Amino acid sequence: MKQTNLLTFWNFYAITRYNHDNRYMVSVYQLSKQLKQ
Amino acid sequence: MIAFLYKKIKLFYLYFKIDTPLLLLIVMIAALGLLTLYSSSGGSLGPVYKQLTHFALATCVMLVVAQIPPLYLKRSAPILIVIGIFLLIMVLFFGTSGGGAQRWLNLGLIKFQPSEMMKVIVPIAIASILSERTMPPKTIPTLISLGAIVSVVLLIAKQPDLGTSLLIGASGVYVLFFSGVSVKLLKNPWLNFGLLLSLASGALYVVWNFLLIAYQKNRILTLLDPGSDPLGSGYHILQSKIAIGSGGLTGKGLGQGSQSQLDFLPEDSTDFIFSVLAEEMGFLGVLLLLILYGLIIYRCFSLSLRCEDNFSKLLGASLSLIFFTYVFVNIAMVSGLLPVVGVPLPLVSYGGSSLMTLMASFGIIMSIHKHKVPRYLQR
Repeated sequence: MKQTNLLTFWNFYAITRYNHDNRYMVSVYQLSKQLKQ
Repeated sequence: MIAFLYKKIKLFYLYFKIDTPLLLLIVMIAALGLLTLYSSSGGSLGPVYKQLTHFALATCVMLVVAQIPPLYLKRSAPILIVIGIFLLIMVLFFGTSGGGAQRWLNLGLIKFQPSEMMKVIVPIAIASILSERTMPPKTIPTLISLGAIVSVVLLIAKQPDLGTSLLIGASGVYVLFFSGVSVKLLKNPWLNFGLLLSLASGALYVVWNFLLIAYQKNRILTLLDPGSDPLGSGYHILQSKIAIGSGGLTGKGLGQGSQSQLDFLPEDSTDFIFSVLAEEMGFLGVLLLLILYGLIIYRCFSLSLRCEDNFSKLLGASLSLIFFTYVFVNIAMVSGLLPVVGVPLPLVSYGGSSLMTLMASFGIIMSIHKHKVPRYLQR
């Protein structure tokens, strides 16, 4: 697996309100990116 | 030929002490548990087969215990409790450590946990002490029982295993409660209430400031506010709550729960298996499980209360109530109502040793129901 580093801002907190697990926020973020494409 | 076989089976059933409704209920819960275990282990059959082996062994233990007359249990209670306390002291000196606590005795071939055994021995011993004399018990038997309970609880709390020690203490106190010990220390009810309240708050102060270790205090603080450390101490409980809540009415379907299948949920085949069930089978699955538990507890109580002697009644009722306590504590723990103590969900969680003691206690309940105590020994 490729290692990725993310720098996030306060807005990122919106994703973590449901589940505060790093894996959860990254997967939601990546899914949203893919949906946008 | 068929008539002959039928007669033989009937005769065997008459002499073989077993309660069929209770056994059927246990099998039904076990089936539900195995289904959940199959899902939580990611669809692999290995753990399911292992747990089936545990069940087969535990059922054998239950059937053997069910054949022992309660009188033998009552008479061997002093020896049992002495052996139990001796083993607990041995654990303090020669026990093997695992996960920061010294709980196991290594006997070469097998490793076993004496505190697991005490879950059955303590109620037997207390019921035996209290049923010797009149009911409700006088001061001296009550003090002796309290002394036995406190010494066992302290020995187990020293390992350290606070959850188990409190549950074992509860199993002893239940026997005292069922025997009708009064908490009326003063005549005036208000003064009595005040005295009990001040005693309880004093005990709470001492326990919080002098007895609890830092990590135990931390667990209680986490319970009050799990969001304070969502990736550390509050992680388990937050993930578990998400899993239970996202199940909805009918659940996400077996093997479809995102919390359990993607490993967000920790310990998903032992302590937190209830969250897996709630996520994948939803409210209806939980309702089915709770109804089955309710029926088992009802059956155990009705069997115990039909007994004619005090020892059987006390022992059966306290074993039934402690079964309820295990179910309640586990479910309250995974849904964030109680601090996280390592109590598995009875008959559903993966694991052999707790299953053995549980099935042994069901065996005792079957035994006290099916064996008649001679009239001259009844009190």
